[in-house]
Amino acid sequence: MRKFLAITAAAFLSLPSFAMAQQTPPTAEIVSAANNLLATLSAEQHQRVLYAFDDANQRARWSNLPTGFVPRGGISLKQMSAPQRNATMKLLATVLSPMGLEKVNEIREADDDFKGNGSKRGPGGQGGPPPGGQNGPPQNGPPPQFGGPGGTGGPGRGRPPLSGDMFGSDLYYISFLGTPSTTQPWMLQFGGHHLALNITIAGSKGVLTPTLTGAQPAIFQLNGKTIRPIGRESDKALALLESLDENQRKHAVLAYQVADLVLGPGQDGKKIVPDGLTASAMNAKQQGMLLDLIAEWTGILNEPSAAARMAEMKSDLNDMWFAWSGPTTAEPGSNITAYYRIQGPHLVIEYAPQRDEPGNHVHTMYRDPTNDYGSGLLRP
Amino acid sequence: MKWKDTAIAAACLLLLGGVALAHRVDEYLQATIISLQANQAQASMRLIPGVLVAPSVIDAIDSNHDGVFSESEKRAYAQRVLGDLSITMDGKTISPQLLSWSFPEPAQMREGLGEIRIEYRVELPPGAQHRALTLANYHLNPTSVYLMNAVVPEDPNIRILAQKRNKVQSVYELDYQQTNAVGALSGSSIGRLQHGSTIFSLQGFSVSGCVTSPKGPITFFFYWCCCFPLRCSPLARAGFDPQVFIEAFSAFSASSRHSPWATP
Repeated sequence: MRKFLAITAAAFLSLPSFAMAQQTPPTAEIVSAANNLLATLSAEQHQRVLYAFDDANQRARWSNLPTGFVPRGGISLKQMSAPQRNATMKLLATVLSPMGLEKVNEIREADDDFKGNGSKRGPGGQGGPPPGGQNGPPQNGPPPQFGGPGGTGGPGRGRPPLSGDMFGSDLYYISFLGTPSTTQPWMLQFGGHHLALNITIAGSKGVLTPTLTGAQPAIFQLNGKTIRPIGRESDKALALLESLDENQRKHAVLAYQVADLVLGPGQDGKKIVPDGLTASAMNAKQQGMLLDLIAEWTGILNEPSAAARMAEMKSDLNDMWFAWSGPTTAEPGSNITAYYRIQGPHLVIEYAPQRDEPGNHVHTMYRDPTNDYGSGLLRP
Repeated sequence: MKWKDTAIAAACLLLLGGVALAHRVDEYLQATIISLQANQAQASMRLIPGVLVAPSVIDAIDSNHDGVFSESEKRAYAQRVLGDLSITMDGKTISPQLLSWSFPEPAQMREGLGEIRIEYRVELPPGAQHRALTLANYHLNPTSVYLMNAVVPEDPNIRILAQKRNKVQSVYELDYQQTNAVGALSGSSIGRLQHGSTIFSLQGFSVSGCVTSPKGPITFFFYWCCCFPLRCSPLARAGFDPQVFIEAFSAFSASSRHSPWATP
């Protein structure tokens, strides 16, 4: 009887995602929104925003760093007219979930806060706005290679503009690799400082990997409200850690420091040897908490694609690992200052507080080493 | 020169304020990812000096202080990095061979953005089934933070058993099982078994080596009494698999192997 109930419960839990996976994904809506945006662009903008689907340099041209340091391809919101910006935001609202769109906007708002107020710590603990936030530092020398290969020539393919803009919610760039299509694969990239969405769409399927999110500040006030763009990723991970018993913690909490992302920009398709606690050693509640934590990344994409991805995560659950390095406590309402990693056959998630301001500067990475840039979808 | 660079970097940091805080400041990140194959391991290193560390790294690379990284200076620095590594296979030191390198411009490094990339390879001598590859990085130790990882081997004959790291990840040990290593030992006339300071070199039916550890003679006895006769016996020729004895031998050898594990 108990077994029957467990099977029934499992079937019930998996039903919604299965049902959603069977729904027609909104590819046609996404393509329509993309074409609406493209129709608003001038010929010159059109040329700057479109890349070949197999343009390896453009695929890899993303970073956690500001666009003044690592120039992105495509065109920025700042370079757009109001109707073009509206069309871009409509496209994002179609391809992302409401939660995903909110996260993207909060990351952009964090960059506005940084532009205006700088780091809380600042040099010598003083903080203050960065000069690059207002007018931008001079751009001397070639673009850094850090975070992806730099190209030459062509719009969006070389050095950053000498205007030298560094921070702000309008310094986020959009580009397309391939032509938006309901049948042929294509990619949408949107990103800037602390954000890199690489979305591959192939027919009814959507893939969000690799994607980088982050924020500095990771906690700030806006219109009287506290904003934590990566807050749930912190809270849910800490709750999972706190749910572990002593023996589970012995495995999950690593005895060594992890100073940064292991598989950040430029580390595509790598599957590293996992470490930590296996999900098979967790109880059902803890496994549910792990999946709920993973959903903070899978759920950035629109619901049908996110549901299909979560179904994959559930089927991989017993082969997943959870590892934690650093302090195991945090004040309520603040972010953890520890690194953690979730790994599975088709998943790498890393949460890496930056050592300049651990609770207030966070980078995260979301990958599928078997399907970065939709490579798995395109295999015959 | 070094002090001048440091002063300039500090001034830049103050000038840039929060900008500098958007990335690494006072640490030298050294990240290594090892790719393990049957007879060799290839490693990819990313070295990212923070804005306050960059002047000393630039100073170390730009040996003639002309403000430009020449090819010979780049190569020399890459070799210096490799020279600061200590790599052992089953306790025996092996030397890395430099494969490739790329360096950012000094100006980028001064901004804390430059990323040096170094690729190298180590040849892995044949050995027992249970193996331990150890990598210790002593390059600019006081200012550095480290990441050490291995990619999941594509070779189905290699199975990772354990990873060990010291607290700062400057030392990394990868314990693994290589099933085709036994084949190499039994199938070829040349093989090598290592057991701490006890090394047997097998060549056909002759054995040469030195037996210095307390367990060495036992290992010697075990192998010659159990494993080796089985490999040569009519049973073996009739298809009997002596794997179980080899496994036991390997496990015994691994359990008593001296580990070079140490925190620098």
